[in-house]
Amino acid sequence: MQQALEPSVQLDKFPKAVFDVSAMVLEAGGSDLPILITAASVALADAGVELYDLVPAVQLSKQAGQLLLDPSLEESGAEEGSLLVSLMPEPNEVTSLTVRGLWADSEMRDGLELALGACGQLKAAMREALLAAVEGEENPEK
Amino acid sequence: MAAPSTTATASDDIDAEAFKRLYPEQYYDRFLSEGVRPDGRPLGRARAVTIGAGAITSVDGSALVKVGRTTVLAGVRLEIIRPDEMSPSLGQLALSVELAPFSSQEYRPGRPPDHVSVITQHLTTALLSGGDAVELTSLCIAQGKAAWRASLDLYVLDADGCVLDAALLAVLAALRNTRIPPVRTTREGHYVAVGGGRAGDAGGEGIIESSPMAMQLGRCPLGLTCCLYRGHLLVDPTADEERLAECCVSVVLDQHGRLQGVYKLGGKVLADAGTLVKCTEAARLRYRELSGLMELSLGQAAKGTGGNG
Repeated sequence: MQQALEPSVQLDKFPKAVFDVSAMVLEAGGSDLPILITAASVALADAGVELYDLVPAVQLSKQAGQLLLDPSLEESGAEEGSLLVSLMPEPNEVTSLTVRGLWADSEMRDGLELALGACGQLKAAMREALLAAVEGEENPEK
Repeated sequence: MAAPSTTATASDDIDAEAFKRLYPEQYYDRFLSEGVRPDGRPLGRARAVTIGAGAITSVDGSALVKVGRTTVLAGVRLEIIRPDEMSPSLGQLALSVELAPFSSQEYRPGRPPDHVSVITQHLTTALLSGGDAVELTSLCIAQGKAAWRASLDLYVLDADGCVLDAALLAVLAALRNTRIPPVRTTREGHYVAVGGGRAGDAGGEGIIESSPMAMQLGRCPLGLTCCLYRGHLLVDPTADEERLAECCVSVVLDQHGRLQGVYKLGGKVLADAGTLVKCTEAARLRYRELSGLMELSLGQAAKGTGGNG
């Protein structure tokens, strides 16, 4: 998780600070690590830390020639290979990539395309959530 | 604490937040003189409670409780064990409490926070001592051969005051939400829990008729914490109020309104009998409110899972 998030934080702006990011999985239903990374990235933004970009992350699972995006626990159990991508969409830079299993070239390309598209969608949702939270704070609380 | 300078009170330019941090006592005094607290509550009102029973589906029983911002998650995991030789007809109950790192400002990595051990101790006294809160005999499957061991795990996700009250409520709701699976014997004489969907394949053979379906609870302890600050009694304090307070009193009652425990841990001020009586009365009212909410939440959870078996 640290490797995935570190490139997104403007660390040179905080020379003497240590950011303690902790995450707790309440219920493990599959695809846990990418969700942890995504949540931690939103939390950093919510804390007002200066970032280069948000870091959405997704997991892909390969089964019987098909690519499954965001596998559940049962689907992960039956997989032949998996691909975990965390991406900074603006500079289009991948911060972390973990591949397990055997992947043919074409499968890898398809997988990455699917994952990058999904990250883009995820980032839109992350932005919406952050904007909604800021608006909620600006309006007087009931 | 030394008396704060009067220049701060005269100036209206200081941001309220900075004022609160620099001169917390004066900040609170301003509110208390009007008879309210910073979050708008009158002195005697406790915070709104949300109970989510069955929040986590990967365990046998769970409850997520929010008292204001204080959030506690309790989960119950069941496993079949061989009962202790000294008590062959009793199951076991194990309790563990963990404070999430993001739950409080005072968390320092590498050092377990001080009040975790206090909460664990109070919870253990409330639930395990005397053996009459959870009926351990109801966890027995076959005398001397098999019994259930319930592991109660508590995670404090946000510690904004009155963690003990939220913890007790979460534990009770989780225990009552726990559904114990039926047990069958295998050919080798082992006891195995029957999974929900697989009961049909086993053909129902060897299922022990009398195995328990739910936990029997005898005494149901629930509590309310109040704190004393400059002669005012504040009910259900937040973390900021707890830090300022001179002392905190927790009263734990059972469902008949009888005192299960009163905890007052030192502090600068001694509470007299009148104060304790007021705390107990407040705790009684709170008990009724909480048990009503708990029934509602458990009913909703049961209806939700009724269709799935």
